[in-house]
Amino acid sequence: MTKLDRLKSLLWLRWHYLMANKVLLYLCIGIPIGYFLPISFIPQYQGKLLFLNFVLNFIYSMTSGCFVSIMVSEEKEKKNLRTLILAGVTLKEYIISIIIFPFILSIGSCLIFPFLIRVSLPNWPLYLFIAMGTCVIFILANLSIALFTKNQTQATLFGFGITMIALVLVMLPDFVQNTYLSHLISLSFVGANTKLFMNSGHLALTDISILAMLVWIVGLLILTRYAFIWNRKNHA
Amino acid sequence: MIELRHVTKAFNGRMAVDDISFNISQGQIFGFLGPSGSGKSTTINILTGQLTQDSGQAWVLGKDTRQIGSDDLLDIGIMSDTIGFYERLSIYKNLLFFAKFHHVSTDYLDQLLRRLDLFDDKNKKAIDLSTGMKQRLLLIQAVLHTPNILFLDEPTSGLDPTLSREVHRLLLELKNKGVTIFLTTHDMTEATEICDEIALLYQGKIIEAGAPQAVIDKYSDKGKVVIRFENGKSITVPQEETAHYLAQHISSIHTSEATLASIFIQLTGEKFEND
Repeated sequence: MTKLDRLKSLLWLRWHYLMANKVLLYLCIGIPIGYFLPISFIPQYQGKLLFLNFVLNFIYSMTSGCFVSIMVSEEKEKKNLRTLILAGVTLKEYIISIIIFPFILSIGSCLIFPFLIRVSLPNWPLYLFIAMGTCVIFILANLSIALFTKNQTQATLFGFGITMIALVLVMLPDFVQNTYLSHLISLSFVGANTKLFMNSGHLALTDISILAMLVWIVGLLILTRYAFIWNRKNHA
Repeated sequence: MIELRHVTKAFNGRMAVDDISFNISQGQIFGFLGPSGSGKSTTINILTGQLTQDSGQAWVLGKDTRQIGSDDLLDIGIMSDTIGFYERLSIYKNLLFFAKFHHVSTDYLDQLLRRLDLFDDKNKKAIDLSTGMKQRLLLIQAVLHTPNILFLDEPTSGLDPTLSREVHRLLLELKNKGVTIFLTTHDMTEATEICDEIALLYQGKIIEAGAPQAVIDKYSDKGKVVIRFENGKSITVPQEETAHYLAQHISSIHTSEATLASIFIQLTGEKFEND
Protein backbone atom coordinates (compact mmCIF):
# COMPACT_ATOMS: atom_id res chain seq x y z
CA MET A 1 0.00 0.00 0.00
CA THR A 2 1.55 3.30 -1.04
CA LYS A 3 0.73 6.78 0.16
CA LEU A 4 -0.48 7.56 -3.35
CA ASP A 5 -2.97 4.67 -3.18
CA ARG A 6 -4.29 6.01 0.10
CA LEU A 7 -4.66 9.48 -1.36
CA LYS A 8 -6.42 8.05 -4.42
CA SER A 9 -8.86 6.20 -2.18
CA LEU A 10 -9.61 9.42 -0.28
CA LEU A 11 -10.22 11.26 -3.56
CA TRP A 12 -12.50 8.42 -4.64
CA LEU A 13 -14.42 8.84 -1.37
CA ARG A 14 -14.68 12.63 -1.84
CA TRP A 15 -15.97 12.23 -5.38
CA HIS A 16 -18.70 9.80 -4.34
CA TYR A 17 -19.56 11.94 -1.32
CA LEU A 18 -19.88 14.98 -3.60
CA MET A 19 -22.05 13.12 -6.09
CA ALA A 20 -24.36 12.01 -3.26
CA ASN A 21 -24.66 15.52 -1.77
CA LYS A 22 -26.96 17.83 -3.72
CA VAL A 23 -26.41 20.87 -1.46
CA LEU A 24 -22.70 20.76 -2.13
CA LEU A 25 -23.24 20.26 -5.85
CA TYR A 26 -25.47 23.32 -5.90
CA LEU A 27 -22.86 25.36 -4.03
CA CYS A 28 -19.88 24.36 -6.12
CA ILE A 29 -21.47 24.12 -9.54
CA GLY A 30 -24.93 25.70 -9.24
CA ILE A 31 -23.74 29.05 -7.86
CA PRO A 32 -20.88 29.87 -10.23
CA ILE A 33 -22.35 28.38 -13.38
CA GLY A 34 -26.09 28.40 -12.81
CA TYR A 35 -26.27 31.90 -11.35
CA PHE A 36 -23.38 34.02 -12.62
CA LEU A 37 -23.09 32.45 -16.05
CA PRO A 38 -26.37 33.94 -17.39
CA ILE A 39 -25.74 37.28 -15.61
CA SER A 40 -22.31 37.60 -17.19
CA PHE A 41 -23.97 37.87 -20.63
CA ILE A 42 -25.90 41.02 -19.65
CA PRO A 43 -24.32 43.81 -21.76
CA GLN A 44 -24.10 46.29 -18.84
CA TYR A 45 -21.73 43.93 -17.01
CA GLN A 46 -19.52 43.17 -19.99
CA GLY A 47 -15.95 44.41 -19.59
CA LYS A 48 -16.53 45.49 -15.96
CA LEU A 49 -13.53 44.65 -13.82
CA LEU A 50 -15.42 45.37 -10.59
CA PHE A 51 -18.16 42.91 -11.57
CA LEU A 52 -15.50 40.27 -12.16
CA ASN A 53 -14.09 41.05 -8.71
CA PHE A 54 -17.57 40.62 -7.18
CA VAL A 55 -18.12 37.31 -9.00
CA LEU A 56 -14.72 36.00 -7.92
CA ASN A 57 -15.27 36.92 -4.28
CA PHE A 58 -18.59 35.13 -4.38
CA ILE A 59 -16.91 32.07 -5.88
CA TYR A 60 -14.16 32.17 -3.24
CA SER A 61 -16.75 32.42 -0.48
CA MET A 62 -19.16 29.78 -1.78
CA THR A 63 -17.25 27.35 -4.00
CA SER A 64 -14.09 27.38 -1.91
CA GLY A 65 -15.29 28.44 1.55
CA CYS A 66 -18.82 27.17 2.22
CA PHE A 67 -18.10 23.98 0.30
CA VAL A 68 -15.31 23.08 2.71
CA SER A 69 -17.06 24.24 5.86
CA ILE A 70 -20.24 22.28 5.05
CA MET A 71 -18.34 19.14 4.07
CA VAL A 72 -15.95 19.10 7.03
CA SER A 73 -18.47 20.14 9.69
CA GLU A 74 -20.84 17.39 8.54
CA GLU A 75 -17.95 14.96 8.53
CA LYS A 76 -17.15 16.00 12.08
CA GLU A 77 -20.73 15.88 13.31
CA LYS A 78 -21.29 12.38 11.89
CA LYS A 79 -17.99 11.14 13.39
CA ASN A 80 -16.49 10.54 9.92
CA LEU A 81 -13.55 12.81 10.64
CA ARG A 82 -12.60 10.80 13.75
CA THR A 83 -13.10 7.60 11.72
CA LEU A 84 -10.69 8.80 9.05
CA ILE A 85 -8.12 9.95 11.62
CA LEU A 86 -8.34 6.62 13.49
CA ALA A 87 -8.05 4.72 10.20
CA GLY A 88 -4.61 6.30 9.75
CA VAL A 89 -5.35 9.22 7.39
CA THR A 90 -2.57 11.79 7.74
CA LEU A 91 -2.95 15.56 7.89
CA LYS A 92 -1.46 15.98 4.39
CA GLU A 93 -3.77 13.35 2.87
CA TYR A 94 -6.76 14.89 4.57
CA ILE A 95 -6.00 18.48 3.49
CA ILE A 96 -5.26 17.48 -0.11
CA SER A 97 -8.45 15.42 -0.33
CA ILE A 98 -10.49 18.30 1.10
CA ILE A 99 -8.89 21.02 -1.01
CA ILE A 100 -8.79 19.39 -4.41
CA PHE A 101 -12.41 19.62 -5.64
CA PRO A 102 -13.28 23.12 -4.38
CA PHE A 103 -9.86 24.32 -5.59
CA ILE A 104 -10.25 22.91 -9.11
CA LEU A 105 -13.82 24.19 -9.43
CA SER A 106 -12.90 27.66 -8.10
CA ILE A 107 -9.83 28.04 -10.30
CA GLY A 108 -11.82 26.73 -13.25
CA SER A 109 -14.36 29.49 -12.63
CA CYS A 110 -11.55 32.07 -12.23
CA LEU A 111 -10.26 31.02 -15.66
CA ILE A 112 -13.61 31.11 -17.40
CA PHE A 113 -15.26 34.25 -16.04
CA PRO A 114 -12.78 36.88 -17.37
CA PHE A 115 -13.59 35.54 -20.85
CA LEU A 116 -17.33 35.47 -20.25
CA ILE A 117 -17.38 39.00 -18.84
CA ARG A 118 -14.89 40.04 -21.54
CA VAL A 119 -12.43 41.64 -19.18
CA SER A 120 -8.91 41.93 -20.51
CA LEU A 121 -6.40 41.19 -17.81
CA PRO A 122 -2.92 42.66 -18.35
CA ASN A 123 -1.09 40.00 -16.34
CA TRP A 124 -2.70 36.56 -16.44
CA PRO A 125 0.00 34.66 -14.49
CA LEU A 126 -0.22 37.20 -11.65
CA TYR A 127 -4.02 37.08 -11.72
CA LEU A 128 -3.97 33.27 -11.50
CA PHE A 129 -1.34 33.30 -8.76
CA ILE A 130 -3.45 35.65 -6.64
CA ALA A 131 -6.64 33.73 -7.44
CA MET A 132 -5.04 30.48 -6.32
CA GLY A 133 -3.64 32.06 -3.16
CA THR A 134 -6.97 33.68 -2.22
CA CYS A 135 -8.79 30.46 -2.97
CA VAL A 136 -6.45 28.49 -0.67
CA ILE A 137 -6.92 31.11 2.07
CA PHE A 138 -10.71 30.77 1.90
CA ILE A 139 -10.47 26.97 1.92
CA LEU A 140 -8.06 26.83 4.88
CA ALA A 141 -9.96 29.45 6.90
CA ASN A 142 -13.21 27.55 6.48
CA LEU A 143 -11.47 24.24 7.12
CA SER A 144 -10.10 25.55 10.43
CA ILE A 145 -13.50 26.91 11.40
CA ALA A 146 -15.20 23.59 10.62
CA LEU A 147 -12.56 21.65 12.55
CA PHE A 148 -12.91 23.82 15.64
CA THR A 149 -16.69 24.29 15.73
CA LYS A 150 -19.04 21.77 17.29
CA ASN A 151 -21.61 21.40 14.50
CA GLN A 152 -22.70 22.47 11.02
CA THR A 153 -24.77 25.39 12.28
CA GLN A 154 -21.81 26.94 14.08
CA ALA A 155 -19.51 26.32 11.12
CA THR A 156 -21.97 27.91 8.67
CA LEU A 157 -22.42 30.91 10.96
CA PHE A 158 -18.67 31.55 11.32
CA GLY A 159 -18.10 30.82 7.62
CA PHE A 160 -20.75 33.40 6.78
CA GLY A 161 -18.81 35.85 8.97
CA ILE A 162 -15.74 35.38 6.75
CA THR A 163 -17.85 35.95 3.64
CA MET A 164 -19.25 39.19 5.07
CA ILE A 165 -15.81 40.47 6.13
CA ALA A 166 -14.44 39.65 2.67
CA LEU A 167 -17.28 41.49 0.91
CA VAL A 168 -16.93 44.55 3.17
CA LEU A 169 -13.14 44.65 2.72
CA VAL A 170 -13.56 44.48 -1.05
CA MET A 171 -16.10 47.33 -1.12
CA LEU A 172 -14.45 49.62 1.46
CA PRO A 173 -11.78 51.16 -0.83
CA ASP A 174 -14.54 52.55 -3.06
CA PHE A 175 -16.11 54.51 -0.23
CA VAL A 176 -13.34 55.33 2.23
CA GLN A 177 -10.13 57.13 1.19
CA ASN A 178 -7.93 56.53 4.20
CA THR A 179 -4.23 55.58 4.10
CA TYR A 180 -4.33 53.47 7.26
CA LEU A 181 -7.46 51.68 6.17
CA SER A 182 -6.11 50.89 2.71
CA HIS A 183 -2.92 49.60 4.35
CA LEU A 184 -5.04 47.40 6.60
CA ILE A 185 -6.97 46.07 3.61
CA SER A 186 -3.67 45.27 1.86
CA LEU A 187 -2.68 43.12 4.81
CA SER A 188 -6.04 41.35 5.01
CA PHE A 189 -6.76 37.87 3.60
CA VAL A 190 -8.33 39.40 0.48
CA GLY A 191 -5.75 42.21 0.27
CA ALA A 192 -3.87 41.00 -2.81
CA ASN A 193 -7.07 40.27 -4.70
CA THR A 194 -8.63 43.64 -3.79
CA LYS A 195 -5.47 45.56 -4.68
CA LEU A 196 -5.14 43.75 -8.01
CA PHE A 197 -8.61 44.90 -9.07
CA MET A 198 -8.15 48.41 -7.63
CA ASN A 199 -5.04 48.78 -9.81
CA SER A 200 -6.83 47.49 -12.94
CA GLY A 201 -5.00 44.19 -12.92
CA HIS A 202 -1.52 45.57 -12.23
CA LEU A 203 0.42 44.64 -9.12
CA ALA A 204 4.11 44.13 -8.40
CA LEU A 205 5.10 40.65 -7.19
CA THR A 206 6.94 42.33 -4.33
CA ASP A 207 3.83 44.17 -3.14
CA ILE A 208 3.15 43.91 0.59
CA SER A 209 -0.32 42.47 -0.08
CA ILE A 210 1.18 39.46 -1.88
CA LEU A 211 3.58 38.87 0.99
CA ALA A 212 0.61 39.18 3.38
CA MET A 213 -1.29 36.60 1.29
CA LEU A 214 1.57 34.10 1.66
CA VAL A 215 1.79 34.80 5.41
CA TRP A 216 -1.96 34.15 5.69
CA ILE A 217 -1.55 30.80 3.92
CA VAL A 218 1.31 29.69 6.19
CA GLY A 219 -0.56 30.89 9.30
CA LEU A 220 -3.74 29.07 8.30
CA LEU A 221 -1.79 25.89 7.51
CA ILE A 222 -0.36 25.95 11.04
CA LEU A 223 -3.82 26.56 12.48
CA THR A 224 -5.28 23.70 10.39
CA ARG A 225 -2.55 21.34 11.56
CA TYR A 226 -3.33 22.23 15.18
CA ALA A 227 -7.09 21.80 14.55
CA PHE A 228 -6.56 18.37 12.96
CA ILE A 229 -4.45 17.14 15.90
CA TRP A 230 -7.00 18.63 18.33
CA ASN A 231 -9.70 16.54 16.64
CA ARG A 232 -7.81 13.31 17.32
CA LYS A 233 -8.71 13.74 20.96
CA ASN A 234 -12.16 13.17 22.33
CA HIS A 235 -13.36 16.51 23.72
CA ALA A 236 -16.86 15.35 24.58
CA MET B 1 0.89 -5.86 22.62
CA ILE B 2 -1.33 -3.88 24.99
CA GLU B 3 -0.25 -2.82 28.45
CA LEU B 4 -1.72 -0.51 31.05
CA ARG B 5 0.00 0.42 34.28
CA HIS B 6 -1.86 2.24 37.06
CA VAL B 7 -3.91 4.28 34.61
CA THR B 8 -6.40 6.77 36.03
CA LYS B 9 -8.75 9.18 34.31
CA ALA B 10 -11.29 11.49 35.90
CA PHE B 11 -13.99 13.70 34.34
CA ASN B 12 -15.08 16.71 36.38
CA GLY B 13 -13.78 15.13 39.56
CA ARG B 14 -15.55 11.81 38.93
CA MET B 15 -13.17 8.88 38.52
CA ALA B 16 -13.92 7.10 35.23
CA VAL B 17 -10.90 4.79 35.31
CA ASP B 18 -9.22 4.16 38.65
CA ASP B 19 -5.73 2.67 38.84
CA ILE B 20 -6.19 0.06 36.11
CA SER B 21 -3.37 -2.30 35.15
CA PHE B 22 -3.34 -5.24 32.73
CA ASN B 23 -1.29 -6.83 30.02
CA ILE B 24 -2.56 -8.47 26.81
CA SER B 25 -0.31 -10.69 24.70
CA GLN B 26 -0.45 -11.11 20.93
CA GLY B 27 -3.27 -13.32 19.67
CA GLN B 28 -5.32 -13.06 22.85
CA ILE B 29 -8.95 -12.11 23.14
CA PHE B 30 -9.31 -9.94 26.20
CA GLY B 31 -12.82 -9.28 27.50
CA PHE B 32 -13.49 -6.12 29.44
CA LEU B 33 -16.76 -6.64 31.27
CA GLY B 34 -18.75 -4.10 33.17
CA PRO B 35 -22.01 -2.21 33.27
CA SER B 36 -22.53 1.10 31.44
CA GLY B 37 -20.45 3.90 32.91
CA SER B 38 -17.92 1.52 34.46
CA GLY B 39 -15.06 2.92 32.35
CA LYS B 40 -14.91 0.49 29.39
CA SER B 41 -15.16 3.08 26.61
CA THR B 42 -12.83 5.47 28.45
CA THR B 43 -10.22 2.70 28.53
CA ILE B 44 -10.62 2.10 24.77
CA ASN B 45 -10.31 5.83 24.14
CA ILE B 46 -7.10 5.99 26.18
CA LEU B 47 -5.66 2.95 24.40
CA THR B 48 -6.42 4.39 20.96
CA GLY B 49 -4.96 7.80 21.79
CA GLN B 50 -8.33 9.57 21.75
CA LEU B 51 -8.00 10.45 25.44
CA THR B 52 -4.97 11.18 27.57
CA GLN B 53 -4.89 9.58 30.99
CA ASP B 54 -4.38 11.73 34.10
CA SER B 55 -1.72 9.38 35.46
CA GLY B 56 -0.16 5.99 34.72
CA GLN B 57 1.13 4.64 31.43
CA ALA B 58 -0.41 2.83 28.50
CA TRP B 59 1.29 1.13 25.55
CA VAL B 60 -0.11 -0.29 22.35
CA LEU B 61 2.17 -2.11 19.86
CA GLY B 62 5.06 -1.12 22.13
CA LYS B 63 4.29 2.57 21.80
CA ASP B 64 3.10 5.03 24.43
CA THR B 65 -0.54 5.71 23.54
CA ARG B 66 0.08 9.47 23.88
CA GLN B 67 2.51 9.17 20.95
CA ILE B 68 0.35 7.08 18.61
CA GLY B 69 0.58 8.41 15.05
CA SER B 70 -1.14 7.81 11.72
CA ASP B 71 1.23 4.95 10.80
CA ASP B 72 0.45 3.12 14.06
CA LEU B 73 -3.27 3.54 13.48
CA LEU B 74 -2.97 1.63 10.19
CA ASP B 75 -2.28 -1.48 12.32
CA ILE B 76 -5.27 -0.92 14.57
CA GLY B 77 -8.97 -1.57 13.96
CA ILE B 78 -11.52 0.27 16.05
CA MET B 79 -15.23 -0.18 16.49
CA SER B 80 -16.57 2.17 19.13
CA ASP B 81 -19.12 4.90 19.64
CA THR B 82 -16.61 7.48 18.38
CA ILE B 83 -16.55 5.86 14.92
CA GLY B 84 -19.05 6.66 12.17
CA PHE B 85 -19.83 6.15 8.49
CA TYR B 86 -20.96 8.26 5.54
CA GLU B 87 -24.75 8.21 5.79
CA ARG B 88 -25.34 9.35 2.20
CA LEU B 89 -23.24 6.53 0.78
CA SER B 90 -24.25 2.89 0.49
CA ILE B 91 -22.90 0.14 2.73
CA TYR B 92 -20.71 -1.03 -0.14
CA LYS B 93 -19.23 2.39 -0.96
CA ASN B 94 -18.51 3.03 2.72
CA LEU B 95 -16.62 -0.24 2.95
CA LEU B 96 -15.07 -0.04 -0.51
CA PHE B 97 -13.29 3.14 0.60
CA PHE B 98 -11.68 1.25 3.50
CA ALA B 99 -10.84 -1.66 1.19
CA LYS B 100 -9.10 0.74 -1.20
CA PHE B 101 -7.44 2.68 1.63
CA HIS B 102 -5.99 -0.49 3.21
CA HIS B 103 -5.44 -2.22 -0.13
CA VAL B 104 -7.77 -5.12 0.67
CA SER B 105 -9.31 -7.18 -2.13
CA THR B 106 -12.99 -6.69 -2.93
CA ASP B 107 -13.36 -10.49 -2.79
CA TYR B 108 -12.56 -10.44 0.90
CA LEU B 109 -14.95 -7.54 1.39
CA ASP B 110 -17.73 -9.49 -0.36
CA GLN B 111 -16.91 -12.52 1.77
CA LEU B 112 -17.31 -10.49 4.98
CA LEU B 113 -20.53 -8.93 3.71
CA ARG B 114 -21.93 -12.41 3.02
CA ARG B 115 -20.83 -13.78 6.40
CA LEU B 116 -22.48 -10.94 8.28
CA ASP B 117 -25.59 -11.05 6.11
CA LEU B 118 -25.15 -7.61 4.51
CA PHE B 119 -24.39 -8.66 0.95
CA ASP B 120 -27.97 -8.45 -0.32
CA ASP B 121 -28.37 -4.99 1.20
CA LYS B 122 -24.96 -3.71 0.15
CA ASN B 123 -26.42 -0.98 -2.06
CA LYS B 124 -28.66 0.36 0.69
CA LYS B 125 -27.78 3.85 1.88
CA ALA B 126 -26.18 3.76 5.32
CA ILE B 127 -28.72 6.23 6.69
CA ASP B 128 -31.52 3.70 6.07
CA LEU B 129 -29.93 0.85 8.01
CA SER B 130 -31.26 -0.74 11.18
CA THR B 131 -29.19 -0.61 14.38
CA GLY B 132 -27.99 -4.18 13.88
CA MET B 133 -26.95 -3.50 10.28
CA LYS B 134 -25.05 -0.36 11.30
CA GLN B 135 -23.34 -2.43 13.97
CA ARG B 136 -22.23 -5.00 11.36
CA LEU B 137 -21.09 -2.27 8.95
CA LEU B 138 -18.87 -0.81 11.68
CA LEU B 139 -17.56 -4.26 12.56
CA ILE B 140 -16.55 -5.00 8.95
CA GLN B 141 -14.98 -1.54 8.74
CA ALA B 142 -12.82 -2.41 11.78
CA VAL B 143 -11.78 -5.94 10.79
CA LEU B 144 -11.49 -5.51 7.01
CA HIS B 145 -7.72 -4.94 6.92
CA THR B 146 -6.95 -7.68 9.50
CA PRO B 147 -5.14 -5.28 11.83
CA ASN B 148 -2.66 -6.34 14.50
CA ILE B 149 -4.93 -5.05 17.23
CA LEU B 150 -8.70 -4.78 17.31
CA PHE B 151 -10.65 -2.67 19.77
CA LEU B 152 -14.31 -3.65 19.76
CA ASP B 153 -16.83 -1.88 21.94
CA GLU B 154 -19.87 -4.15 22.37
CA PRO B 155 -19.52 -5.80 18.93
CA THR B 156 -22.58 -8.05 19.29
CA SER B 157 -25.02 -5.72 20.99
CA GLY B 158 -28.19 -5.51 18.93
CA LEU B 159 -27.42 -8.68 16.95
CA ASP B 160 -29.55 -11.82 16.96
CA PRO B 161 -28.00 -15.06 18.36
CA THR B 162 -27.17 -16.47 14.90
CA LEU B 163 -25.26 -13.37 13.84
CA SER B 164 -23.63 -13.12 17.26
CA ARG B 165 -22.31 -16.66 16.80
CA GLU B 166 -20.99 -15.73 13.34
CA VAL B 167 -19.23 -12.71 14.85
CA HIS B 168 -17.69 -15.00 17.51
CA ARG B 169 -16.45 -17.35 14.77
CA LEU B 170 -14.96 -14.43 12.87
CA LEU B 171 -13.19 -13.13 15.98
CA LEU B 172 -11.78 -16.57 16.75
CA GLU B 173 -10.48 -16.81 13.16
CA LEU B 174 -8.79 -13.44 13.53
CA LYS B 175 -7.31 -14.55 16.85
CA ASN B 176 -5.86 -17.61 15.11
CA LYS B 177 -4.24 -15.28 12.57
CA GLY B 178 -2.48 -13.54 15.48
CA VAL B 179 -4.80 -10.56 15.88
CA THR B 180 -5.01 -9.28 19.45
CA ILE B 181 -8.59 -8.43 20.34
CA PHE B 182 -9.73 -6.14 23.12
CA LEU B 183 -13.48 -6.32 23.45
CA THR B 184 -15.93 -4.84 25.87
CA THR B 185 -19.19 -6.62 26.45
CA HIS B 186 -22.23 -6.91 28.67
CA ASP B 187 -22.68 -10.50 27.57
CA MET B 188 -21.16 -12.82 30.18
CA THR B 189 -21.77 -15.92 28.06
CA GLU B 190 -19.91 -14.33 25.14
CA ALA B 191 -17.00 -13.51 27.45
CA THR B 192 -16.89 -17.04 28.85
CA GLU B 193 -17.00 -18.63 25.39
CA ILE B 194 -14.49 -16.61 23.38
CA CYS B 195 -12.18 -14.71 25.73
CA ASP B 196 -8.78 -15.96 26.84
CA GLU B 197 -8.65 -13.45 29.66
CA ILE B 198 -11.30 -11.26 31.21
CA ALA B 199 -11.42 -8.35 33.62
CA LEU B 200 -14.52 -7.37 35.56
CA LEU B 201 -14.82 -3.62 35.80
CA TYR B 202 -16.91 -1.78 38.36
CA GLN B 203 -16.94 1.97 38.96
CA GLY B 204 -13.65 2.36 37.09
CA LYS B 205 -11.82 -0.38 39.02
CA ILE B 206 -10.89 -3.90 38.01
CA ILE B 207 -12.49 -6.07 40.68
CA GLU B 208 -11.50 -9.46 39.26
CA ALA B 209 -9.35 -10.68 36.36
CA GLY B 210 -8.00 -13.88 34.86
CA ALA B 211 -8.95 -16.68 32.47
CA PRO B 212 -12.77 -17.03 32.47
CA GLN B 213 -12.75 -20.64 33.74
CA ALA B 214 -10.18 -19.83 36.41
CA VAL B 215 -12.33 -16.95 37.67
CA ILE B 216 -15.42 -19.18 37.64
CA ASP B 217 -13.56 -21.98 39.49
CA LYS B 218 -12.35 -19.49 42.09
CA TYR B 219 -15.91 -18.58 43.04
CA SER B 220 -17.51 -22.00 42.59
CA ASP B 221 -18.30 -24.21 45.58
CA LYS B 222 -16.02 -27.10 44.68
CA GLY B 223 -17.14 -30.49 45.92
CA LYS B 224 -20.69 -29.25 46.51
CA VAL B 225 -23.89 -29.96 44.63
CA VAL B 226 -27.20 -28.17 44.41
CA ILE B 227 -30.23 -30.43 44.98
CA ARG B 228 -33.55 -29.08 43.76
CA PHE B 229 -36.72 -30.71 45.12
CA GLU B 230 -40.04 -31.09 43.40
CA ASN B 231 -41.59 -28.61 45.82
CA GLY B 232 -39.30 -25.92 44.39
CA LYS B 233 -36.88 -25.76 47.31
CA SER B 234 -33.15 -26.29 46.81
CA ILE B 235 -30.15 -26.91 49.04
CA THR B 236 -26.37 -26.92 48.54
CA VAL B 237 -24.63 -29.89 50.16
CA PRO B 238 -21.23 -31.65 49.98
CA GLN B 239 -21.14 -34.22 47.16
CA GLU B 240 -20.69 -37.15 49.59
CA GLU B 241 -23.97 -36.29 51.34
CA THR B 242 -26.02 -36.52 48.12
CA ALA B 243 -27.02 -40.12 48.88
CA HIS B 244 -28.93 -39.02 52.03
CA TYR B 245 -31.43 -37.13 49.87
CA LEU B 246 -32.03 -39.65 47.10
CA ALA B 247 -35.15 -41.06 48.75
CA GLN B 248 -36.84 -37.66 48.58
CA HIS B 249 -38.67 -36.09 45.63
CA ILE B 250 -35.72 -34.61 43.75
CA SER B 251 -36.17 -32.75 40.46
CA SER B 252 -32.47 -32.14 39.74
CA ILE B 253 -28.94 -32.44 41.10
CA HIS B 254 -26.12 -30.36 39.63
CA THR B 255 -22.70 -29.08 40.58
CA SER B 256 -22.57 -25.70 42.20
CA GLU B 257 -20.70 -23.67 39.57
CA ALA B 258 -20.65 -19.89 39.58
CA THR B 259 -21.19 -17.80 36.44
CA LEU B 260 -19.47 -14.52 35.61
CA ALA B 261 -22.80 -12.80 36.22
CA SER B 262 -23.20 -14.35 39.68
CA ILE B 263 -19.57 -13.52 40.49
CA PHE B 264 -20.20 -9.90 39.53
CA ILE B 265 -23.23 -9.80 41.83
CA GLN B 266 -21.25 -11.46 44.60
CA LEU B 267 -18.46 -8.89 44.30
CA THR B 268 -20.51 -5.73 43.85
CA GLY B 269 -23.96 -6.49 45.16
CA GLU B 270 -25.30 -5.17 41.84
CA LYS B 271 -26.66 -6.81 38.70
CA PHE B 272 -25.64 -6.13 35.14
CA GLU B 273 -28.46 -4.06 33.71
CA ASN B 274 -29.26 -6.47 30.88
CA ASP B 275 -28.88 -9.71 32.82
